[in-house]
Amino acid sequence: MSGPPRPPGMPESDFQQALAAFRAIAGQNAVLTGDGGAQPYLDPFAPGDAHAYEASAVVMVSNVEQLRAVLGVANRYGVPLWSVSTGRNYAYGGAAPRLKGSVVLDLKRMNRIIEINETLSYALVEPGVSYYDLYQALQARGIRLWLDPPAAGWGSVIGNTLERGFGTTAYGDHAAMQCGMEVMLANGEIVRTGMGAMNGNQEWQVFKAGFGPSYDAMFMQSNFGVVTKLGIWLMPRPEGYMLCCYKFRHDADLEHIVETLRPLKLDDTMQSNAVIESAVRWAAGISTRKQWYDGPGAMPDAAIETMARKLGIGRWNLRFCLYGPEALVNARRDVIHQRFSSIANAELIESPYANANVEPKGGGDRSQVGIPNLDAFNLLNWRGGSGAHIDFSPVCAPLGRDAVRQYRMIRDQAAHYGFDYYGGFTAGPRSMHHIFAAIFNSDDPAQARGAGDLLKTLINDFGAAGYGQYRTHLAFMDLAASQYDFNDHALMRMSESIKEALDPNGILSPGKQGIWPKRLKERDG
Amino acid sequence: MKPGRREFIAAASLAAACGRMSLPARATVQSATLSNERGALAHALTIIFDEDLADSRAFAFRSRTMGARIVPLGNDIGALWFQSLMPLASSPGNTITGLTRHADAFLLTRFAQGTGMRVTQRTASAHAGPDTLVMWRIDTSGTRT
Repeated sequence: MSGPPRPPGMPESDFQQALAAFRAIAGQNAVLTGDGGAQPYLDPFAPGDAHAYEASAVVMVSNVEQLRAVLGVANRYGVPLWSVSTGRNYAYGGAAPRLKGSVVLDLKRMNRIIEINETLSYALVEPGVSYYDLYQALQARGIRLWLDPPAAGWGSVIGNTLERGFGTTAYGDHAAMQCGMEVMLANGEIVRTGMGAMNGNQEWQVFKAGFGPSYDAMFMQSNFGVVTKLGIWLMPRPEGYMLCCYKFRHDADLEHIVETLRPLKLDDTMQSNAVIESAVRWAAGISTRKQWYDGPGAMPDAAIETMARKLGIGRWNLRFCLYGPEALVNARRDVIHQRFSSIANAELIESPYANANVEPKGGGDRSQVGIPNLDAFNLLNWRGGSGAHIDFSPVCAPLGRDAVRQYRMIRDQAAHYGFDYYGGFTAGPRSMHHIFAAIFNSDDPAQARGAGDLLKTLINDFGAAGYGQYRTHLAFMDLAASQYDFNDHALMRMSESIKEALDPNGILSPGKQGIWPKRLKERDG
Repeated sequence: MKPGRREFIAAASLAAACGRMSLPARATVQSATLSNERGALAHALTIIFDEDLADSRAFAFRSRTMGARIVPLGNDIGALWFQSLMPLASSPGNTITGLTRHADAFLLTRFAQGTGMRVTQRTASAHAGPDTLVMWRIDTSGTRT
């Protein structure tokens, strides 16, 4: 049996010296290696061999001083570091590094909530702060602010925001709600963006731009620095809310749904992000596949139809939430209902207007009122066995024709590979995240490989059709990045130039989003 | 051959209490061993169970007779972890085990691994009713953070 990998090309003696230096900096128990220490950092949902993305070791830093010292060692020895906040989004690879043999730089011990400002409605946090942590702090201090949790509430606020995650309240575009960053560059220098670049300034978390230029977005979905603090805007707790859900009877309703939804989102009649869920996605939260279909291949349409009728759900289901004083909420509801009444058999299920103190029970409902939860993981039970999933996440304009085209492209390829269309759209004002999860039993190598093959096919198909993804699993980062091909991949050339300038030794997250350091790119051809 | 439901529950609860996690899938348990092993339960054992699953409930109630503390999953597994289970991580010698659906087993064992708790078993599965359940066990020894 072979031992854990080493950073590629690094002599064992150098690696051991680097690990010893990491221990001296962060403490003996802050460095995990050998004897299964890095095992929890393997991707549990890998669509193939998880060891293809295996870390050589893990180092957990507790503060920026330790971080700076670790970066110094990494530069000296050429140790590739894969930084993670908590590394909890397993649909995209979890905490596993893109480059086998990298050392995971785990930031979860940097977990201070530095400030919560109720007056100006923001928080300033470190990478290890999860949505649960922030929620508990808000509750414990009686602060009248809501956060916007992603589907998996155990994730890091910083990690999710940097990966452009999203939720389902009115603050659902997490990257858009970010204001002010502190970043450590590869050379150990700390930079603060926006107004934070000015000593003694108090507006770091309320004005994004500063004097310019603005760099915050450069540190999202990239490998140009390590974000050590981040400001996030929080939603003032409304007076009350109304949870709403439409059930649409027909598979063919999708185009009409999107066309009806768009103007309501554009003019902010519908405040929350709106979620259009397929029948399978809804059913996977409350039942198992075997209850409806136990045959080979994807669920036939007739089985889906029967399932939807028996569960009392739509072929498409639209969830949203309205916030504010009751009279305003009712007015918004009436406008929305008048618009959707043009779709035959559309059924609106609205919960009674509730005071903001009232907590709903279901996970999806709780998310829409700022309560983190983990109900989304019920999908792991859908297919049986050791359920796992990887996600395909193309961006879709809020146009009915595009939504239908993308839906059919995914549904048909998924069926070809034996997967159900577990998908839906999360709609903001001007774009939708189309999320499809290929659910598989990770104990079944053929299913796992099939999920990987399906994802590759979809990325290529969508690229050819002019659709790009906003995010992807480790295994497909190069392929997804290669779809962004305007002017012979000019964007990637610029990214590589920035990488070379800021991280000449290529120590920070090599391969993240398809951006490879020059030294590795040249070595590997 | 898979065990019958009663045998499975008996084996699972005994295995949880005694730290023998390899039993459930093919268990043959003699009732006499229950009393023999009961005295071995010297560590603090917490059983997590799913109120909606008969076999999970039966597993928990049977384990309770052997001195285990039982805790329902409730409707927010994250809150369960942070409020009830994570505090156990600070004292060595605690064991948390459960017979749950895969998703719940996955979440709790991942939470545990994230704080350095040792997951000694999590994949022994058996058909014990309409749902496929997973038996898992985590120990606080070796807790890191």
